[in-house]
Amino acid sequence: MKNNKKSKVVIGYPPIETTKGVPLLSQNRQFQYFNAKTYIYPMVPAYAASMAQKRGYEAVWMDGIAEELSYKVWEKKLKSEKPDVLMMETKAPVVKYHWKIVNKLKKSLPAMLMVMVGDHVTYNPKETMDHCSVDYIITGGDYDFMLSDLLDSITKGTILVGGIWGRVGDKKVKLSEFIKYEDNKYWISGPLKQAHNLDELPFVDRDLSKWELYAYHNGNYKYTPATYMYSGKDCWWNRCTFCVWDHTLNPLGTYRRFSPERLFNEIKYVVDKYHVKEIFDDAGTLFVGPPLKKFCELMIKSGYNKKVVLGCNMRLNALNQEYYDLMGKANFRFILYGMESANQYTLDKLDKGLKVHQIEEGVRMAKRAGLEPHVTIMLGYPWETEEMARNTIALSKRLFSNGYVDTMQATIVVPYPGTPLYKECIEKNWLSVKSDNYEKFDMRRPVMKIPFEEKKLYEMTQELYSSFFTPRYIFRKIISIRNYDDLKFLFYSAWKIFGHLLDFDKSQTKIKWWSPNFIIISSKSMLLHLFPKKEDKLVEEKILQSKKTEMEEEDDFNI
Amino acid sequence: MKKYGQDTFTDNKNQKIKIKIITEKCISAAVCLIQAPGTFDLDDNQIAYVKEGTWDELKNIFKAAKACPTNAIIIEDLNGNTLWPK
Repeated sequence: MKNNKKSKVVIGYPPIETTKGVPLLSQNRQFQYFNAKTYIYPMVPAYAASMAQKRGYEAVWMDGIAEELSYKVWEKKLKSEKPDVLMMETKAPVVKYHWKIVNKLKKSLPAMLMVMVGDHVTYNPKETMDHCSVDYIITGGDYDFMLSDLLDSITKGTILVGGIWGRVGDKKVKLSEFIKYEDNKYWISGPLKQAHNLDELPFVDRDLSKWELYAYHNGNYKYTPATYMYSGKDCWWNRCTFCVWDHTLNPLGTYRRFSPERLFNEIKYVVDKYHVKEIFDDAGTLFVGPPLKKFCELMIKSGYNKKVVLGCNMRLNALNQEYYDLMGKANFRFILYGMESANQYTLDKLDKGLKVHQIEEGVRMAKRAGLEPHVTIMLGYPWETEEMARNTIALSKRLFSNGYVDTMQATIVVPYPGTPLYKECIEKNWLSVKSDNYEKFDMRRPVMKIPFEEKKLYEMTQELYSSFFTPRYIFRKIISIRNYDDLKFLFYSAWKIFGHLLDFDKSQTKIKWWSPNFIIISSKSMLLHLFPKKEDKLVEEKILQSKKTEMEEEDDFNI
Repeated sequence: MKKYGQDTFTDNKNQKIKIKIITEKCISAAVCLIQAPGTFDLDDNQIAYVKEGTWDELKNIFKAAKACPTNAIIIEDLNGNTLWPK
């Protein structure tokens, strides 16, 4: 690698050629293939590129997925760039595909060093070192800082920070005395330390990272062009047993966040320079308490609440009405909650720290403050019976019908390697596929044994997606149309819902929009919601019971 | 300089409990301040401490302790029995 300052690093996503749809690989705590085009802004890679640029390297952004390139075209561009280093993010469902690509590229570009990052290779770096000729693996979620540290060690001989894997015999980096060896083949540069102060990150260079690729095709946006922020690593709750980032990239104890001033300053910069209409902050859970108050006050006092609409992830029981009202004034719109299930047994098993009755309470407060709540829900837990799944569908229908929720995303729960749920699946033999058959963990099919037919799970996921189809919700949506953006968003949401109904059709890739079978099934799943069901009553009782249980718990504490 | 309740129990004349915050565990999530704003606050290093003066209702103090992601808030009765975490 050249010793002059201008070594070139490509941050790249090679195209994944598949009939399954668009791979949602970047900035995703899960992984799916969507029928509807969706490109999510890879925030940590974008910060990595911006930091490398700031530290004197030439960074090049090559997202072949979002640029809709064929692999051949992407590889040709890569060869023409002649980079010194290529950094790639990977995840379980595509890691084997990436092994092949790494091996292929190492043959055609032998001088180019290859670096892999991401949740799967943080969970099991050795496996990837064994299976492909990658040069380095940066473990953990701080590769926005550590990529530049690696480049410095290669080009300037600085001592390499901890948390990076390499191969014995590699003389390109300077290793510290904390080095450890693995199988006499690999070294680990020392213990991984994730204590970087996020305020020291440069603003994302959005020209470098081609922000417009990610400014339109994302269901989280109502107003476009829009963009992302990432104000916290990753989620301060950090305990959900299915969340792969919580247990690999940013494990318990490593949570850090921007200061409110820093988040506001980057938003101000982006609004002034790029005139975006909406910004979604994809921190796992947005910071709360005094920092959130301070941030909202900065948005309100500066008047930027009138220039841009905001969105974020939040926990259903984190805030009270006072905070929601303040967020409403700061022009938060889209607020995304991980609801997951309507069954307390499941919420406790997932370590959500959430009570069933707090779900409706949370979205109701947000709605009252003028926000647009979005809930994400999962079906297909090995311990959930059909009746329990129907209970979740009933709560979703209730939230839509009461007008407390605007949109929803339903997925099939996937136990990603590296999560406690995956560990439990192996211990209790819950997997219906081999534990290292990673391509299957793409949410196209359940990979856990469930106590009812797989066909039924697809149907119920479609039923869940169509649980908005109640007269009250549809009437309310129509009368809420104020302008062209609202109308456009309504049709876009309807189109997305059909895309999701297609995603979860039991015939999977063999079915198309226009297949009569699909039209009949999806219409049926919607029309069924027009009529009351016994689960509707049951879910109301469960909410009351949950409230009662909490009050009894409180009485226990009365001394 | 440690603040009130940081790594040592502190009590309050209007409640029959003692509260301690394990500062090493606190990640400044600040959700305790939302549940019990009269009892908890963040110091300059964004680490939680216990406020002097009148604390919140007991049930809100327990809600705050339950909402803490790292179980950094310890509650005891005046005889030293741990009430939270269970």
